[in-house]
Amino acid sequence: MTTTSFAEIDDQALAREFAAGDERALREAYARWSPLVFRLALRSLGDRTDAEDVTQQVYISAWNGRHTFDRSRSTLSAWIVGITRHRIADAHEGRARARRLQEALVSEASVAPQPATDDLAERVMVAEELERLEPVPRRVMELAFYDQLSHTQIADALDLPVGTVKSHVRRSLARLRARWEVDDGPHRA
Amino acid sequence: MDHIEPDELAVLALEGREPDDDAARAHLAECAECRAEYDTLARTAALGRAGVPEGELEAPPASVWAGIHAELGLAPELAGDPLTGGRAVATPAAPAEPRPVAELPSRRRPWWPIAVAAAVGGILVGVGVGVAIGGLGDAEPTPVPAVVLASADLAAFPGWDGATGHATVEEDADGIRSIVVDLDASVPQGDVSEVWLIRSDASGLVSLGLLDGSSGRFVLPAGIDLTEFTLVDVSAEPVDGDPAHSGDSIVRGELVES
Repeated sequence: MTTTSFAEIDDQALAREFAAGDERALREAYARWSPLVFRLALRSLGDRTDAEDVTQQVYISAWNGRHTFDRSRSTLSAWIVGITRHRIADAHEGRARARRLQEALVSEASVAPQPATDDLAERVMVAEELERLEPVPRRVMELAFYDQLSHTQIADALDLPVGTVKSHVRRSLARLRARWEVDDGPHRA
Repeated sequence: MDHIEPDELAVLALEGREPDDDAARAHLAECAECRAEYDTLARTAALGRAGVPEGELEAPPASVWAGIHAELGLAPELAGDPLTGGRAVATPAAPAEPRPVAELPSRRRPWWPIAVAAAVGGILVGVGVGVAIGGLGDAEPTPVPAVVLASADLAAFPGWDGATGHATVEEDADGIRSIVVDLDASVPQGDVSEVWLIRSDASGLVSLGLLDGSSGRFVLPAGIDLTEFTLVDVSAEPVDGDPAHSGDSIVRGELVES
Protein backbone atom coordinates (compact mmCIF):
# COMPACT_ATOMS: atom_id res chain seq x y z
CA MET A 1 0.00 0.00 0.00
CA THR A 2 3.00 2.30 0.11
CA THR A 3 2.67 3.41 -3.45
CA THR A 4 -1.08 3.02 -3.87
CA SER A 5 -3.41 5.90 -3.39
CA PHE A 6 -5.40 5.66 -0.19
CA ALA A 7 -8.36 7.20 -1.95
CA GLU A 8 -8.85 3.98 -3.85
CA ILE A 9 -8.71 1.38 -1.12
CA ASP A 10 -11.94 -0.05 0.20
CA ASP A 11 -13.29 0.61 3.67
CA GLN A 12 -11.98 -2.65 5.10
CA ALA A 13 -8.46 -2.10 3.86
CA LEU A 14 -8.63 1.46 5.11
CA ALA A 15 -9.69 0.20 8.55
CA ARG A 16 -6.73 -2.17 8.60
CA GLU A 17 -4.24 0.59 7.76
CA PHE A 18 -5.91 2.89 10.28
CA ALA A 19 -5.59 0.33 13.07
CA ALA A 20 -1.99 -0.25 12.03
CA GLY A 21 -1.28 3.43 12.59
CA ASP A 22 -0.75 4.74 9.07
CA GLU A 23 -1.41 8.47 9.21
CA ARG A 24 -2.54 8.51 5.60
CA ALA A 25 -5.42 6.26 6.65
CA LEU A 26 -6.51 8.87 9.19
CA ARG A 27 -6.45 11.48 6.46
CA GLU A 28 -8.52 9.28 4.16
CA ALA A 29 -10.96 8.45 6.98
CA TYR A 30 -11.39 12.19 7.41
CA ALA A 31 -11.98 12.61 3.68
CA ARG A 32 -14.65 9.88 3.70
CA TRP A 33 -16.60 10.57 6.86
CA SER A 34 -15.92 14.05 8.21
CA PRO A 35 -18.92 15.50 6.29
CA LEU A 36 -21.11 12.93 8.06
CA VAL A 37 -19.54 13.62 11.46
CA PHE A 38 -19.86 17.37 10.93
CA ARG A 39 -23.47 17.10 9.80
CA LEU A 40 -24.46 14.93 12.76
CA ALA A 41 -22.86 17.42 15.16
CA LEU A 42 -24.37 20.41 13.41
CA ARG A 43 -27.85 18.92 13.45
CA SER A 44 -27.68 18.07 17.10
CA LEU A 45 -25.89 21.15 18.39
CA GLY A 46 -27.21 23.73 15.95
CA ASP A 47 -23.99 25.72 16.05
CA ARG A 48 -21.25 25.61 13.47
CA THR A 49 -18.37 26.41 15.80
CA ASP A 50 -19.44 23.70 18.22
CA ALA A 51 -19.88 21.26 15.35
CA GLU A 52 -16.39 22.05 14.08
CA ASP A 53 -14.97 21.47 17.57
CA VAL A 54 -16.77 18.15 17.85
CA THR A 55 -15.52 17.03 14.43
CA GLN A 56 -11.97 17.85 15.43
CA GLN A 57 -12.29 16.04 18.76
CA VAL A 58 -13.81 12.99 17.12
CA TYR A 59 -10.85 12.45 14.80
CA ILE A 60 -8.30 13.21 17.51
CA SER A 61 -10.04 10.73 19.84
CA ALA A 62 -10.28 8.14 17.09
CA TRP A 63 -6.59 8.38 16.29
CA ASN A 64 -5.44 8.34 19.89
CA GLY A 65 -7.78 5.46 20.65
CA ARG A 66 -7.17 3.45 17.49
CA HIS A 67 -5.89 0.50 19.56
CA THR A 68 -9.43 0.16 20.97
CA PHE A 69 -10.94 -0.17 17.51
CA ASP A 70 -11.91 -3.80 16.92
CA ARG A 71 -12.37 -4.58 13.25
CA SER A 72 -14.17 -7.81 14.08
CA ARG A 73 -16.92 -5.93 15.89
CA SER A 74 -17.44 -2.78 13.90
CA THR A 75 -16.64 -1.03 10.68
CA LEU A 76 -14.43 2.03 10.84
CA SER A 77 -17.26 4.35 9.83
CA ALA A 78 -19.60 2.92 12.46
CA TRP A 79 -16.90 3.24 15.09
CA ILE A 80 -16.31 6.88 14.16
CA VAL A 81 -20.05 7.54 14.29
CA GLY A 82 -20.11 5.97 17.77
CA ILE A 83 -17.38 8.34 18.93
CA THR A 84 -19.30 11.20 17.34
CA ARG A 85 -22.38 10.37 19.40
CA HIS A 86 -20.37 10.45 22.60
CA ARG A 87 -18.66 13.72 21.72
CA ILE A 88 -22.01 15.31 20.86
CA ALA A 89 -23.38 14.15 24.21
CA ASP A 90 -20.33 15.64 25.90
CA ALA A 91 -20.94 18.94 24.13
CA HIS A 92 -24.56 19.00 25.29
CA GLU A 93 -23.43 18.23 28.81
CA GLY A 94 -20.87 21.03 28.65
CA ARG A 95 -23.55 23.45 27.57
CA ALA A 96 -25.90 22.38 30.34
CA ARG A 97 -23.15 22.98 32.84
CA ALA A 98 -22.45 26.44 31.44
CA ARG A 99 -26.13 27.20 31.52
CA ARG A 100 -26.47 26.22 35.12
CA LEU A 101 -23.60 28.53 35.96
CA GLN A 102 -25.10 31.42 34.15
CA GLU A 103 -28.53 30.81 35.66
CA ALA A 104 -29.74 33.24 33.12
CA LEU A 105 -31.27 31.34 30.31
CA VAL A 106 -34.79 30.41 31.04
CA SER A 107 -36.04 29.50 27.63
CA GLU A 108 -34.25 28.08 24.66
CA ALA A 109 -33.18 31.03 22.59
CA SER A 110 -32.01 30.79 19.04
CA VAL A 111 -30.93 27.21 18.86
CA ALA A 112 -33.39 24.40 18.40
CA PRO A 113 -31.43 21.15 18.38
CA GLN A 114 -32.73 18.37 16.21
CA PRO A 115 -34.40 15.48 18.00
CA ALA A 116 -32.18 12.57 18.90
CA THR A 117 -34.16 10.30 16.59
CA ASP A 118 -32.43 11.76 13.56
CA ASP A 119 -31.35 8.82 11.49
CA LEU A 120 -28.83 10.35 9.10
CA ALA A 121 -26.01 8.18 10.39
CA GLU A 122 -28.06 5.02 9.95
CA ARG A 123 -29.10 6.03 6.45
CA VAL A 124 -25.49 6.67 5.46
CA MET A 125 -24.42 3.32 6.93
CA VAL A 126 -27.12 1.47 5.04
CA ALA A 127 -26.33 3.33 1.81
CA GLU A 128 -22.66 2.43 2.21
CA GLU A 129 -23.46 -1.22 2.71
CA LEU A 130 -25.94 -1.25 -0.17
CA GLU A 131 -23.13 -0.14 -2.44
CA ARG A 132 -21.04 -3.08 -1.34
CA LEU A 133 -23.57 -5.72 -2.30
CA GLU A 134 -22.86 -7.86 -5.29
CA PRO A 135 -24.42 -6.60 -8.53
CA VAL A 136 -27.38 -8.95 -8.59
CA PRO A 137 -28.54 -8.59 -4.95
CA ARG A 138 -27.83 -4.89 -5.22
CA ARG A 139 -30.04 -4.61 -8.27
CA VAL A 140 -32.74 -6.57 -6.43
CA MET A 141 -32.63 -4.17 -3.49
CA GLU A 142 -32.57 -1.08 -5.70
CA LEU A 143 -35.65 -2.24 -7.54
CA ALA A 144 -37.36 -2.83 -4.20
CA PHE A 145 -36.24 0.42 -2.59
CA TYR A 146 -36.36 2.94 -5.38
CA ASP A 147 -38.72 1.44 -7.92
CA GLN A 148 -41.05 0.01 -5.28
CA LEU A 149 -41.33 -3.30 -7.07
CA SER A 150 -42.64 -6.34 -5.23
CA HIS A 151 -40.47 -9.43 -5.05
CA THR A 152 -42.50 -11.11 -7.79
CA GLN A 153 -42.15 -8.08 -10.06
CA ILE A 154 -38.41 -8.10 -9.40
CA ALA A 155 -38.27 -11.78 -10.31
CA ASP A 156 -40.00 -10.92 -13.61
CA ALA A 157 -37.83 -7.90 -14.28
CA LEU A 158 -34.56 -9.72 -13.69
CA ASP A 159 -35.73 -13.07 -14.97
CA LEU A 160 -34.83 -14.77 -11.72
CA PRO A 161 -36.74 -17.47 -9.84
CA VAL A 162 -38.92 -15.99 -7.07
CA GLY A 163 -37.08 -18.13 -4.51
CA THR A 164 -33.75 -16.63 -5.57
CA VAL A 165 -35.11 -13.11 -5.21
CA LYS A 166 -36.43 -13.91 -1.73
CA SER A 167 -33.12 -15.34 -0.73
CA HIS A 168 -31.28 -12.24 -2.00
CA VAL A 169 -33.72 -10.06 -0.05
CA ARG A 170 -33.15 -11.96 3.18
CA ARG A 171 -29.36 -12.00 2.90
CA SER A 172 -29.14 -8.38 1.78
CA LEU A 173 -31.45 -7.06 4.51
CA ALA A 174 -29.41 -8.99 7.07
CA ARG A 175 -26.23 -7.33 5.83
CA LEU A 176 -27.75 -3.86 5.76
CA ARG A 177 -29.17 -4.37 9.22
CA ALA A 178 -25.86 -5.48 10.68
CA ARG A 179 -24.43 -2.22 9.42
CA TRP A 180 -26.78 0.22 11.12
CA GLU A 181 -27.50 -1.85 14.20
CA VAL A 182 -23.98 -1.18 15.39
CA ASP A 183 -22.64 -1.85 18.79
CA ASP A 184 -22.74 1.57 20.41
CA GLY A 185 -20.64 0.66 23.39
CA PRO A 186 -18.10 2.91 25.07
CA HIS A 187 -15.79 4.59 22.63
CA ARG A 188 -13.98 6.75 25.11
CA ALA A 189 -10.49 7.34 23.91
CA MET B 1 -47.51 -22.79 14.11
CA ASP B 2 -43.78 -22.67 13.45
CA HIS B 3 -41.94 -19.39 13.09
CA ILE B 4 -42.39 -17.67 9.79
CA GLU B 5 -39.81 -18.85 7.31
CA PRO B 6 -36.89 -16.34 7.19
CA ASP B 7 -37.05 -15.66 3.42
CA GLU B 8 -40.78 -15.06 3.74
CA LEU B 9 -40.43 -12.76 6.74
CA ALA B 10 -37.76 -10.70 4.98
CA VAL B 11 -39.94 -10.17 1.92
CA LEU B 12 -42.93 -9.22 4.07
CA ALA B 13 -40.86 -6.69 5.99
CA LEU B 14 -39.38 -5.28 2.80
CA GLU B 15 -42.79 -4.76 1.30
CA GLY B 16 -44.44 -3.72 4.55
CA ARG B 17 -47.09 -6.39 4.19
CA GLU B 18 -48.87 -8.71 6.57
CA PRO B 19 -48.78 -12.43 5.72
CA ASP B 20 -51.51 -13.55 3.32
CA ASP B 21 -52.57 -16.61 5.20
CA ASP B 22 -54.45 -16.35 8.49
CA ALA B 23 -52.26 -18.67 10.54
CA ALA B 24 -49.11 -16.80 9.63
CA ARG B 25 -50.77 -13.46 10.30
CA ALA B 26 -51.89 -14.64 13.71
CA HIS B 27 -48.42 -15.96 14.42
CA LEU B 28 -46.80 -12.65 13.56
CA ALA B 29 -49.20 -10.89 15.90
CA GLU B 30 -48.39 -13.24 18.77
CA CYS B 31 -44.76 -14.22 18.37
CA ALA B 32 -42.48 -11.60 19.91
CA GLU B 33 -39.45 -13.08 18.18
CA CYS B 34 -40.89 -12.93 14.67
CA ARG B 35 -42.41 -9.52 15.35
CA ALA B 36 -39.08 -8.06 16.52
CA GLU B 37 -37.30 -9.51 13.51
CA TYR B 38 -39.99 -8.15 11.21
CA ASP B 39 -39.81 -4.68 12.77
CA THR B 40 -36.02 -4.50 12.54
CA LEU B 41 -36.01 -5.60 8.92
CA ALA B 42 -38.79 -3.14 8.10
CA ARG B 43 -36.77 -0.36 9.70
CA THR B 44 -33.73 -1.45 7.69
CA ALA B 45 -35.77 -1.26 4.51
CA ALA B 46 -37.05 2.19 5.47
CA LEU B 47 -33.48 3.41 6.01
CA GLY B 48 -32.47 1.97 2.66
CA ARG B 49 -35.39 3.61 0.92
CA ALA B 50 -34.69 6.97 2.50
CA GLY B 51 -31.18 6.98 1.06
CA VAL B 52 -28.94 9.95 1.53
CA PRO B 53 -30.48 13.00 -0.10
CA GLU B 54 -28.25 15.21 -2.18
CA GLY B 55 -26.87 18.11 -0.22
CA GLU B 56 -27.40 16.35 3.08
CA LEU B 57 -23.72 16.37 3.85
CA GLU B 58 -21.41 19.31 3.88
CA ALA B 59 -17.74 19.61 4.47
CA PRO B 60 -16.32 21.07 7.65
CA PRO B 61 -13.97 24.01 6.98
CA ALA B 62 -10.28 23.43 6.36
CA SER B 63 -9.43 24.72 9.83
CA VAL B 64 -10.83 21.52 11.34
CA TRP B 65 -8.28 19.31 9.62
CA ALA B 66 -5.56 21.87 10.31
CA GLY B 67 -6.38 21.56 14.02
CA ILE B 68 -6.27 17.76 13.90
CA HIS B 69 -3.03 17.82 11.96
CA ALA B 70 -1.40 20.18 14.45
CA GLU B 71 -2.74 18.46 17.57
CA LEU B 72 -1.59 15.02 16.49
CA GLY B 73 1.66 16.20 14.93
CA LEU B 74 1.05 14.37 11.67
CA ALA B 75 3.55 14.21 8.83
CA PRO B 76 3.96 17.57 7.04
CA GLU B 77 2.95 16.18 3.65
CA LEU B 78 -0.50 15.37 5.06
CA ALA B 79 -1.23 18.97 6.00
CA GLY B 80 -3.55 19.91 3.14
CA ASP B 81 -7.31 19.71 3.67
CA PRO B 82 -8.30 16.16 2.65
CA LEU B 83 -11.69 17.40 1.50
CA THR B 84 -10.53 19.93 -1.05
CA GLY B 85 -7.43 18.10 -2.12
CA GLY B 86 -5.14 20.79 -0.87
CA ARG B 87 -1.72 19.39 -0.25
CA ALA B 88 1.11 21.20 1.37
CA VAL B 89 3.83 19.01 -0.01
CA ALA B 90 3.23 16.07 -2.25
CA THR B 91 5.93 13.50 -1.83
CA PRO B 92 6.17 10.36 -3.90
CA ALA B 93 6.09 8.35 -0.66
CA ALA B 94 2.66 9.60 0.35
CA PRO B 95 0.49 10.19 -2.67
CA ALA B 96 -2.73 10.69 -0.72
CA GLU B 97 -5.15 11.52 -3.46
CA PRO B 98 -7.77 14.17 -2.87
CA ARG B 99 -11.36 13.07 -2.75
CA PRO B 100 -14.23 15.39 -3.50
CA VAL B 101 -16.77 15.75 -0.73
CA ALA B 102 -19.48 14.53 -3.04
CA GLU B 103 -17.90 11.09 -2.98
CA LEU B 104 -20.30 10.05 -0.23
CA PRO B 105 -22.97 7.70 -1.39
CA SER B 106 -25.70 9.00 -3.54
CA ARG B 107 -28.41 6.51 -4.20
CA ARG B 108 -28.86 7.52 -7.80
CA ARG B 109 -25.29 7.08 -8.84
CA PRO B 110 -24.38 3.67 -10.14
CA TRP B 111 -21.49 3.17 -7.78
CA TRP B 112 -20.14 -0.26 -8.18
CA PRO B 113 -18.78 -0.08 -11.72
CA ILE B 114 -16.77 2.91 -10.60
CA ALA B 115 -15.55 1.00 -7.60
CA VAL B 116 -14.62 -1.91 -9.77
CA ALA B 117 -12.68 0.39 -12.04
CA ALA B 118 -11.00 1.84 -8.99
CA ALA B 119 -10.24 -1.59 -7.62
CA VAL B 120 -8.82 -2.69 -10.89
CA GLY B 121 -6.61 0.33 -10.63
CA GLY B 122 -4.41 0.52 -13.62
CA ILE B 123 -6.70 -0.51 -16.39
CA LEU B 124 -4.77 -2.06 -19.15
CA VAL B 125 -4.58 0.32 -22.04
CA GLY B 126 -3.71 -0.66 -25.54
CA VAL B 127 -2.84 -4.27 -25.58
CA GLY B 128 -2.41 -3.72 -29.26
CA VAL B 129 -2.95 -6.36 -31.79
CA GLY B 130 -2.39 -9.88 -30.66
CA VAL B 131 -1.07 -12.21 -33.21
CA ALA B 132 -2.13 -15.79 -33.12
CA ILE B 133 0.85 -17.72 -34.23
CA GLY B 134 -0.26 -20.77 -36.10
CA GLY B 135 1.73 -23.79 -37.04
CA LEU B 136 4.82 -22.20 -38.42
CA GLY B 137 6.60 -23.91 -41.21
CA ASP B 138 3.66 -26.14 -42.03
CA ALA B 139 2.30 -26.42 -45.49
CA GLU B 140 -0.94 -24.78 -44.37
CA PRO B 141 -1.34 -21.12 -45.14
CA THR B 142 -0.48 -18.85 -42.21
CA PRO B 143 -3.73 -18.12 -40.38
CA VAL B 144 -4.99 -14.58 -40.51
CA PRO B 145 -4.09 -12.99 -37.15
CA ALA B 146 -6.85 -12.66 -34.57
CA VAL B 147 -7.44 -9.08 -33.56
CA VAL B 148 -7.64 -8.17 -29.90
CA LEU B 149 -10.73 -6.05 -29.47
CA ALA B 150 -10.64 -5.46 -25.74
CA SER B 151 -9.16 -6.73 -22.54
CA ALA B 152 -9.73 -6.55 -18.83
CA ASP B 153 -7.65 -7.02 -15.74
CA LEU B 154 -9.72 -8.89 -13.20
CA ALA B 155 -9.37 -7.87 -9.57
CA ALA B 156 -10.18 -9.91 -6.48
CA PHE B 157 -13.35 -9.49 -4.47
CA PRO B 158 -13.31 -9.44 -0.67
CA GLY B 159 -12.75 -12.94 0.63
CA TRP B 160 -10.75 -13.90 -2.46
CA ASP B 161 -7.51 -12.21 -1.50
CA GLY B 162 -4.74 -12.83 -3.93
CA ALA B 163 -7.00 -13.90 -6.78
CA THR B 164 -6.25 -12.27 -10.12
CA GLY B 165 -7.32 -12.79 -13.66
CA HIS B 166 -7.27 -11.46 -17.15
CA ALA B 167 -9.70 -11.51 -20.03
CA THR B 168 -9.06 -10.82 -23.70
CA VAL B 169 -11.68 -10.46 -26.41
CA GLU B 170 -10.46 -11.56 -29.83
CA GLU B 171 -12.03 -11.53 -33.25
CA ASP B 172 -10.91 -14.03 -35.83
CA ALA B 173 -10.86 -13.66 -39.60
CA ASP B 174 -14.46 -14.88 -39.85
CA GLY B 175 -15.66 -12.18 -37.48
CA ILE B 176 -16.26 -14.65 -34.65
CA ARG B 177 -15.51 -13.08 -31.30
CA SER B 178 -14.29 -15.08 -28.38
CA ILE B 179 -13.11 -14.24 -24.92
CA VAL B 180 -10.12 -15.86 -23.29
CA VAL B 181 -10.27 -15.86 -19.53
CA ASP B 182 -7.37 -16.71 -17.25
CA LEU B 183 -7.94 -17.06 -13.53
CA ASP B 184 -5.33 -17.39 -10.84
CA ALA B 185 -7.24 -18.31 -7.68
CA SER B 186 -7.72 -21.24 -5.40
CA VAL B 187 -11.38 -22.17 -5.62
CA PRO B 188 -12.61 -24.61 -2.95
CA GLN B 189 -13.26 -28.10 -4.07
CA GLY B 190 -16.87 -28.71 -5.05
CA ASP B 191 -17.45 -25.19 -6.33
CA VAL B 192 -17.26 -24.41 -10.00
CA SER B 193 -16.19 -21.12 -11.53
CA GLU B 194 -18.55 -19.52 -14.00
CA VAL B 195 -17.72 -16.73 -16.41
CA TRP B 196 -20.20 -13.90 -16.87
CA LEU B 197 -20.57 -10.71 -18.84
CA ILE B 198 -22.39 -8.02 -16.88
CA ARG B 199 -24.00 -4.87 -18.13
CA SER B 200 -22.30 -1.73 -16.85
CA ASP B 201 -25.36 -0.72 -14.86
CA ALA B 202 -25.86 -4.24 -13.49
CA SER B 203 -29.22 -4.48 -15.20
CA GLY B 204 -28.34 -7.72 -16.89
CA LEU B 205 -25.87 -10.52 -17.05
CA VAL B 206 -25.04 -13.32 -19.43
CA SER B 207 -23.41 -16.59 -18.51
CA LEU B 208 -20.65 -17.59 -20.90
CA GLY B 209 -19.95 -20.93 -19.32
CA LEU B 210 -17.90 -22.78 -16.79
CA LEU B 211 -14.20 -22.26 -16.45
CA ASP B 212 -12.41 -25.57 -16.50
CA GLY B 213 -9.24 -25.11 -14.54
CA SER B 214 -7.47 -21.79 -14.77
CA SER B 215 -8.05 -20.88 -18.39
CA GLY B 216 -10.85 -21.03 -20.92
CA ARG B 217 -12.04 -19.67 -24.23
CA PHE B 218 -15.69 -18.81 -24.78
CA VAL B 219 -17.34 -17.81 -28.03
CA LEU B 220 -19.37 -14.63 -27.61
CA PRO B 221 -22.95 -14.77 -28.81
CA ALA B 222 -23.27 -12.54 -31.88
CA GLY B 223 -25.86 -10.25 -30.32
CA ILE B 224 -23.73 -9.20 -27.37
CA ASP B 225 -22.82 -5.53 -27.46
CA LEU B 226 -19.55 -5.11 -25.63
CA THR B 227 -20.10 -1.40 -25.13
CA GLU B 228 -23.11 -2.43 -23.08
CA PHE B 229 -21.78 -5.54 -21.34
CA THR B 230 -18.53 -4.09 -20.16
CA LEU B 231 -17.76 -6.21 -17.11
CA VAL B 232 -16.21 -9.65 -17.00
CA ASP B 233 -16.93 -11.57 -13.83
CA VAL B 234 -15.85 -14.98 -12.62
CA SER B 235 -17.99 -16.31 -9.80
CA ALA B 236 -17.85 -19.31 -7.52
CA GLU B 237 -21.02 -21.29 -8.03
CA PRO B 238 -22.31 -24.08 -5.85
CA VAL B 239 -23.48 -27.07 -7.86
CA ASP B 240 -27.11 -26.59 -6.86
CA GLY B 241 -28.86 -26.35 -10.19
CA ASP B 242 -29.71 -22.70 -9.66
CA PRO B 243 -28.79 -20.95 -12.90
CA ALA B 244 -28.59 -17.50 -11.28
CA HIS B 245 -25.37 -15.80 -10.27
CA SER B 246 -24.45 -16.90 -6.75
CA GLY B 247 -23.44 -13.39 -5.78
CA ASP B 248 -20.06 -14.78 -4.84
CA SER B 249 -17.70 -13.13 -7.31
CA ILE B 250 -14.07 -14.15 -7.28
CA VAL B 251 -12.70 -11.53 -9.64
CA ARG B 252 -14.14 -8.89 -11.89
CA GLY B 253 -12.88 -6.21 -14.24
CA GLU B 254 -13.92 -3.78 -16.90
CA LEU B 255 -13.23 -4.40 -20.56
CA VAL B 256 -11.20 -1.69 -22.17
CA GLU B 257 -11.12 -1.35 -25.92
CA SER B 258 -7.78 -1.99 -27.50
